[in-house]
Amino acid sequence: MLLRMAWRNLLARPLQHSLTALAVALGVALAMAVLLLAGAFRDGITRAAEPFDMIVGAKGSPNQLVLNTIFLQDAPIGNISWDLYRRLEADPRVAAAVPLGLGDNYRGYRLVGASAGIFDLRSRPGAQPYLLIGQGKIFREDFEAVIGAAVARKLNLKVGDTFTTTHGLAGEGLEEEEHADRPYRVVGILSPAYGPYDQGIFTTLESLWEAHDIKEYGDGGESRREKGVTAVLVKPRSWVGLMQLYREINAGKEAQGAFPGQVLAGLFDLLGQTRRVLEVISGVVMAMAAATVAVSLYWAGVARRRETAILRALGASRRSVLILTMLEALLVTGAGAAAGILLGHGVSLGIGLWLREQYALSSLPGFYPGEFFILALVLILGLLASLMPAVAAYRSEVAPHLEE
Amino acid sequence: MIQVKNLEKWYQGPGGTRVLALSAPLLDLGAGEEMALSGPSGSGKTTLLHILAGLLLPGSGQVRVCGHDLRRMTEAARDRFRSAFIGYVFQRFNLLPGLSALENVMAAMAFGNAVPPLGRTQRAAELLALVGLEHRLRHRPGQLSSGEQQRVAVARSLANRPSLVLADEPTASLDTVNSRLVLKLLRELCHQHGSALLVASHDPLVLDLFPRQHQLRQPDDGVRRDDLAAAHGLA
Repeated sequence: MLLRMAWRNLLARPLQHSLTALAVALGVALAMAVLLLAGAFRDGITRAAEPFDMIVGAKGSPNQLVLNTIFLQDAPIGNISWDLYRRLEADPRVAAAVPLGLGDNYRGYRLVGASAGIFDLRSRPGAQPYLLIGQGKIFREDFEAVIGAAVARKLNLKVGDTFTTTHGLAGEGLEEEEHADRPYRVVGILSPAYGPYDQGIFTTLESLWEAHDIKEYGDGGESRREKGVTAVLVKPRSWVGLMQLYREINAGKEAQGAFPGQVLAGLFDLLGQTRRVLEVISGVVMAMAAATVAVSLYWAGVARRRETAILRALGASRRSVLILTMLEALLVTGAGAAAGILLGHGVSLGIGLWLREQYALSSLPGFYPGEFFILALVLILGLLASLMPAVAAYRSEVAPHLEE
Repeated sequence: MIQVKNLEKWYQGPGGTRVLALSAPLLDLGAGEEMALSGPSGSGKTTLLHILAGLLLPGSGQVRVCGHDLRRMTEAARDRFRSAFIGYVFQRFNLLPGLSALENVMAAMAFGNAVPPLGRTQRAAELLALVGLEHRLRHRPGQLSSGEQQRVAVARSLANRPSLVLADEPTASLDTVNSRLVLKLLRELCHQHGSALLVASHDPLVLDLFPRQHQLRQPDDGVRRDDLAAAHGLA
């Protein structure tokens, strides 16, 4: 009966209590969105980096190397020699070495020159390949292209279509130069990998070189292979061998080796600081919501002193009216928290979808195991916020308010 | 049922003066009996009813209600006493506006043990039928006329099968027809339930219905108490 009374009391002032619940909902939604998106972002990045044990590229920033080879972002540092790639490929400690060349784009989507070994990269032995052909086949000849799922969807490209690339990376602000005389033909479309390579266009390294040789050097000019490769994705036979290789490469002057996991851990630290700021903001919003609950219930209690007095006259104890006020707080904060969790999921799903669409970077946020903890925390906050109005109701005298 | 002897209730007045709000030298009411309580405004009728209901502590004197010495009871004990033994009808009905007629009657049962939880809905519906409101069970107070609201209040006062029903000016907010109806119902239902009834009123039409009356006199301490009583929520 007390629960029913509490509910009816809330319904008696729908606007006031709806606004209170809304304040709680916004606080919870913000907190939820921060947690869900941070988790999804981390999962998405980690997942995208899983198939790559070590990346070897030109000396420079390892962050840049990882960003441009795995996430197809940022500009490549420079090239490493073809010889180095051959040495890595022949190294007994290396199970597979996949050379990568970056440089051109088609309507903003990066062209990735690679060996066919790129289609055999797996996050772990026995897992299915990271890049799976959904339609068509992998490239065999020069100027054949396999396009990522997002590229096919956004540019409406189908197997058999042709396109010409533009020199340089999209968004660099450089004058773009079109390789109009060397069109590519789509021979395959990847199944969605839900990662950055969904936005890549894959072809043979030779295609990339040939386009540039012709443009820059002409037939019979500088040896194609002197152009080198942007990076080599290294799959080791053993962890010990990988570590030896890593030390050797970084000790030399020719190239650097980078572990994506290690680089991403550093990036996560940076992201963690942003997340902490957002968490503090969420905390402030939650505290404000709790204050709103307290003030709202207090004034509702003041306006309802006569009703409280009637309940006391009917035999309700002071404890009963205290519990009644606390139940009201629980209902308001519970409703607000539930709405906030739904809203948080909705917002983070929307942002997650946008991130996937724009950068193919994020896993979609799912259920967060700490949601029950958040719900419990909000209810406790609501109970704490109800203490002041509950004690006011508890202390309210009966006789003076019965005939108000 | 009610034994009052030399009861006085004092309030702290302006400037620290003490003001006598009620003086009841002797009042006695047996089980199942009925009585009207009369007296001019400010004579302490409401104060006396509040004391008898355990809502206010007596000042000095003796007050026993349903065998309980109210002066010796804690507030929590008086809350339990009130829900177990007392039914109360107010001048302004005092129904809970957010609850339906049925729920208002059930609300009284929620704080006592007289009616088991599973039987409360049926009991409330039966009581409302007895006051002729079986067709208004789901209506809220705002959807009822004044007379209907007071009939709900009468049904509520009997919800816990109280030994004593206290009615404070129960007809003051009603027209003559509804006044007669409410009083008739109140007396009949108290008689059926074996509850004693004490009705405070200064309306001669009400007082004439009660063969037994007790008149409170204006306490004489030289202070005007109408304003003071109003300041304490008492008439």
